[in-house]
Amino acid sequence: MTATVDVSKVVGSAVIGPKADTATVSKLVMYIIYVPGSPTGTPANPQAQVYSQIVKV
Amino acid sequence: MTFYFAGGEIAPWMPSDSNVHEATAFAGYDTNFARCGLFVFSGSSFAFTPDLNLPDEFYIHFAAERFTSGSNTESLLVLATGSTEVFQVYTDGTTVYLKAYIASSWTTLGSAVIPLNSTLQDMDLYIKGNSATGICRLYVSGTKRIEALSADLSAVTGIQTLRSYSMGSGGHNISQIIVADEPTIGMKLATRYPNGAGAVNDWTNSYADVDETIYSDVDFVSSSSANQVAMYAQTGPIPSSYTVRAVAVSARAKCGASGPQNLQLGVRVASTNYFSTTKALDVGYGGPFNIWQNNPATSAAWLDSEISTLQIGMKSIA
Repeated sequence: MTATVDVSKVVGSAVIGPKADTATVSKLVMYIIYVPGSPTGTPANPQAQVYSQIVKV
Repeated sequence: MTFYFAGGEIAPWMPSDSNVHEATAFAGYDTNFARCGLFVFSGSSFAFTPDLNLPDEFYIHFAAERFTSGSNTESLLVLATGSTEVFQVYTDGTTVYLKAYIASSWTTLGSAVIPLNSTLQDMDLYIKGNSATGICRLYVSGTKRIEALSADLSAVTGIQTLRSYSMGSGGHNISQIIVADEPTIGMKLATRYPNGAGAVNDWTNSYADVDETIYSDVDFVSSSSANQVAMYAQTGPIPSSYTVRAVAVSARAKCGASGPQNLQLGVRVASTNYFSTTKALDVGYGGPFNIWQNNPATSAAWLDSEISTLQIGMKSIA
């Protein structure tokens, strides 16, 4: 009688991800805060919005 | 005038779990400014900001829309001092409530009928806290809709973080969040993102690994030694009827057990890189950000014409 070893399944695994000795950035975003006003190249005045009105009498 | 926060995506927002992520599937955000909404769904899940350390008086601008597939209520904005939640903007989809946590229970200070079911609303919250006679107001599309005077906002002080909760199975989108110590009514937040190589790239991998709308930690850029710099070209909307007040850069970032443990965020103006103060990283992902209220190259207010040629990036720090 011959002795046998049976293997029914073999699995290989890989560990995937950032290395342990690195800083990692997974997403980078830029935001711009806007206020109403014409983009003429002149900075917005944060203090006041002035409205003028001509009144006919 | 100080801006304390600007963001509408994961970075600088952080997700409590996998129920929180950016979404483009339904139109719950303004495509003129944002490329997605921050979608919060399922009970108890929430998005949260890094520590902001707000003053006792401040404004928060945000846009929100409730997803109507569920019968849930939504805590659109929750103000927290560390782990203690003390104030919230709450909705059932048809009415919005301002609530403060007073004597161990949530107390409604004011409410108004404001439709949010499949309806995007621009809102601004004003808080004057740290007082038994505090003030809170909610503006919708620039109009004051809720006001509570002499409100007990004694506990609303030292606000460190904002949270946005879904309390059931439906969810909501929130976007364009701006926090400042001046009125935010009328302000907008535009999202821009990496779309090309910049002037320098000491980091491994490229802009294409950090440009996604819906965050993914599967692809990333990495730095194995200190003082490595990466800069990227960027793109996004430049609205025609608005002018720039501030520029912010944020990253979904972490460190390893060794190697660089800190980060500086940066902008490149003309041929010079300008970096933020050093931001400490954790081995888990956080959302460091920096806001430049003036152009660091001129020390003057930003000009609209300066935005399109800006490069954005970061530097690894030991």
